[in-house]
Amino acid sequence: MIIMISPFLSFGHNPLAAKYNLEAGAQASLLTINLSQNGVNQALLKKYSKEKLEEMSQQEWKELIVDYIKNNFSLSFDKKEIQLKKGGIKLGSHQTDLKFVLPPVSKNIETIDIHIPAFQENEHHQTIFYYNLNGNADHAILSSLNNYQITIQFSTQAQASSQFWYILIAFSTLILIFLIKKNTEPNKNKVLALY
Amino acid sequence: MKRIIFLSYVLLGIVVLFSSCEKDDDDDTVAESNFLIKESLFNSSSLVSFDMITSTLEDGTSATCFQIIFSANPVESGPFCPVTNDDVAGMGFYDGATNPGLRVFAEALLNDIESDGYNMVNDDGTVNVDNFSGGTSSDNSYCLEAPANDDLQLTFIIPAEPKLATSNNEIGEVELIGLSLDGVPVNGDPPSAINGPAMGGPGGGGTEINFPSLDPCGGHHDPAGYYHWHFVPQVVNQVLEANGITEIACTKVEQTSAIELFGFAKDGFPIYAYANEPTDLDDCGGRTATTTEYPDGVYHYVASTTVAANVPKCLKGVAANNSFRFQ
Repeated sequence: MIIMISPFLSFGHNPLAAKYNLEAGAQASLLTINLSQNGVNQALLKKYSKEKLEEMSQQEWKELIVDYIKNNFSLSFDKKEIQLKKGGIKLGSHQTDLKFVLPPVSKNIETIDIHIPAFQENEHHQTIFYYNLNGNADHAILSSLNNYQITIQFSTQAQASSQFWYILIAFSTLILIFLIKKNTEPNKNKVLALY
Repeated sequence: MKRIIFLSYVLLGIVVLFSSCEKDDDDDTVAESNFLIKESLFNSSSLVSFDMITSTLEDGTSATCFQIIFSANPVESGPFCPVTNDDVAGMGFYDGATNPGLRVFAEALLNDIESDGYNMVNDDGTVNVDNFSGGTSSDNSYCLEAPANDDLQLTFIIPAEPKLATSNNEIGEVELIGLSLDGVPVNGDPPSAINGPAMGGPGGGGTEINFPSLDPCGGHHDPAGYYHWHFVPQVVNQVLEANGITEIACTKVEQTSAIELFGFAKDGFPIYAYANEPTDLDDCGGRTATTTEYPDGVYHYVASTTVAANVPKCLKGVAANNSFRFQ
């Protein structure tokens, strides 16, 4: 059997990316975070020595990761800041997952402010933030290009604005067709009159 | 008539206003030239834009680079994880105690995982699959199967003229290798299940495992949603056969019967799949030879037909400082 693998390399999860997924519910919302263990290690090794991290108990290691995530996370629903409180963590050699229970999201929510500077110490890091709020599902990407923060607007103003332009175009087109028709009709009559 | 002309101008203005919000790629099209990387080589159905920019390379110098943007997930993929222990799905690099190596995600591997003390198969025979919807338990092990997000765009920045590095660039844990002609990222060694870079004392990685599965062609989705290769798929069936795997085969990518350009490494050199692997490859799996695309000869990497994973282990050239991002 010809095979070469290194147990110290694992790449299934891009170490330069983290995934946050916010699922809104009627009673509560759930924030799931999927992290590359490589990315976690890289970030924490910037603050702590390898020896110190390896000496930690599993519980201390879990708490360190949870604290790091909490300290590098800011989420506001309509300017009201949401705290990460109840949660859980599942360590993995390849991928570490965290879950936090958040309050329900209002059906009339207009804005979400997100600032997740976690892992920005890892050069070129990107975080993808998926959200599903009352059927409104999409994603946002946080990177150094937006300083790891973004505001998502759910206001109907944007929709109204685009609708205004579509209506304007449709209305203008109708007027144009009407005027062309009106101007061409007498000519037609004149041509007919010649016969 | 004046009213017609006036309204025509109004309509024209509106159209211009709207179209000005979109980038006009035609104006920025890079002319075909003597560069190794040419727009015409890429799959036009997934190619979004092809531009030239100035970028900083990993050695700190500045260079002209191609900025190439693709839509994500242009290729068919799967299957990845088995639903039950009777199913045969993708494959993975198992690094547990029992029968480690490249394995098919099927009953034999699942039995070995269970024997090694990981709870991946339930009493009813169903397999724990984490599709990243949040419904996982820390008491179970999972086969990872991230969902696709076809709305992503992937940006690659590649030096227009490859620049040799002073030493080999060994592909490390955080590195991308390059891209296929479809615009699919190519990554280094495939993921393992257990012996990852965990810290936090003995057992720091947890007592259960998350095991990413590759499909039979050697790719899978990152949790962010974009498909990427860990193998050069055009010769993956030869690799499977060389590793004694007969239960699965790559059927979604045609296996090459000659010499086929697969893509480009992030240093700008091409990557080829050879039906018959040459014997004169250097330490990074490369050689200089004439090819259909480069009749005057070119240095290029060659995918192994026997070693898993069959991607280059090192690169000879210097890559751009930020060679990949998604948006």
